[in-house]
Amino acid sequence: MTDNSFFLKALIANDSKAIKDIYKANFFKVRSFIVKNRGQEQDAEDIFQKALLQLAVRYKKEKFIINTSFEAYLFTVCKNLWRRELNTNKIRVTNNDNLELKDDNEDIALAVLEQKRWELFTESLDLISENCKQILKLFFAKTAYAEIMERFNYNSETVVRQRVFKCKNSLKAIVRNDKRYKALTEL
Amino acid sequence: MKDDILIDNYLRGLLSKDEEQSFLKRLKSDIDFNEKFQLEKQLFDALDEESWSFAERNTNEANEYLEILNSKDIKNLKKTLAETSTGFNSKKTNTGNKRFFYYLAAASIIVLLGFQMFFNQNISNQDLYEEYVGLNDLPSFVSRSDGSNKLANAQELFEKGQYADALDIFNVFESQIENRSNLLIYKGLSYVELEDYENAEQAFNDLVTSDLLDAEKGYWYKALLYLKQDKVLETEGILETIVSENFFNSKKARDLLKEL
Repeated sequence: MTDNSFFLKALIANDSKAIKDIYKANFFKVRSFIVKNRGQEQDAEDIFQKALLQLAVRYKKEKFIINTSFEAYLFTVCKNLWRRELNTNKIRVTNNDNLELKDDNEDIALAVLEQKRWELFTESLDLISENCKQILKLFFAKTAYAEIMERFNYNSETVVRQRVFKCKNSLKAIVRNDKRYKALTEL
Repeated sequence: MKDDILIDNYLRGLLSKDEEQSFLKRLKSDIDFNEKFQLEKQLFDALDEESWSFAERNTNEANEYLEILNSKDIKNLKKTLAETSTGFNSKKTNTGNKRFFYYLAAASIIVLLGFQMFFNQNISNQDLYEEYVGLNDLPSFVSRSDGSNKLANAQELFEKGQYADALDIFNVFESQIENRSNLLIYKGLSYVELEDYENAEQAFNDLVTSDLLDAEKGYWYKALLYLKQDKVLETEGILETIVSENFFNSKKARDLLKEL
């Protein structure tokens, strides 16, 4: 399918045949990813449904464009939703007093915003130099400066800090200049 | 840069209690600093694979999505998704025509092998095998590119029940790294269908002892292989391992154990 919006349109048209095709072409890959990453089959079913709802809701509100294949995009959304789920559980475990039952719809609505922010950040990261990108990836993964220094053969941690600072500023400048950032912060 | 280091240290949990107190105080009073911090934190959370950047609730935009989610259209879509998902995942309803085909295939094998063997024996184990093996739920080779198209052909032959022909292709591609786990599963199941249990076991053992990500799937298929041969004790042994180690299909393994 070359037209990436075909399945998006099918979702909001509630086209059951196309939806079945989406399942056929994508579900097993998602299931295998989730089962390999601390999930169960039931989780995979939940995540897959939530992902499709997320796409439908977002497409209904703003006719967004998918730059990759629909399959690749859907997989990314599912992966992110699963990351979200794993981190939600973490919060629930560490923050037992504030345990609150949120309903699914609210979760899906928030997940749309989060996915949009994630897209803005990852796309911005792709716009900076390869060296900066690699350094920042390590930095955001909370890698120690000493380790970054070794991996990139820098002379001192101070040099690494300066490099991180510079790279982060270019990234933030790109993010701040993107009109999507404004929309995402001034809500 | 000073503020950057400060924020960085806070996010990495490196500030002392006092420093943290004054940091939080400043967040409340200094709007620019707060914006700087929020963006930094969001970047940290979103771009680290281990975490996730959550959105604030009760924003206008979130509420707009929420409204759409509560609309009749999306409610209908939810219904369709739920139905498709159940149809797709439940063993009983998902098989349709193919299931009929497998029964036909099974029936013809029965005729070929003679009636007594099967009817005197444990038909229910055979049924359980059919129910749990999910031949049409297997991962697909179809979307893979170039050289692997042969595997898609083999898969098609497999789906048509031409297991020997499918095996000819699977055996040629066995050494290829990509798809190897799926390949071993298909290979083993083809042998099962051909009742060549020795080679089937070899294929699943190869999977179990491999260093592939999907190695644990080998246990599940080995259990089914034993089930197919009415080796109930062996089946139970492996299923128990799957459940206790939380291997692939541990939930199904638990269900199957109850049915044995």
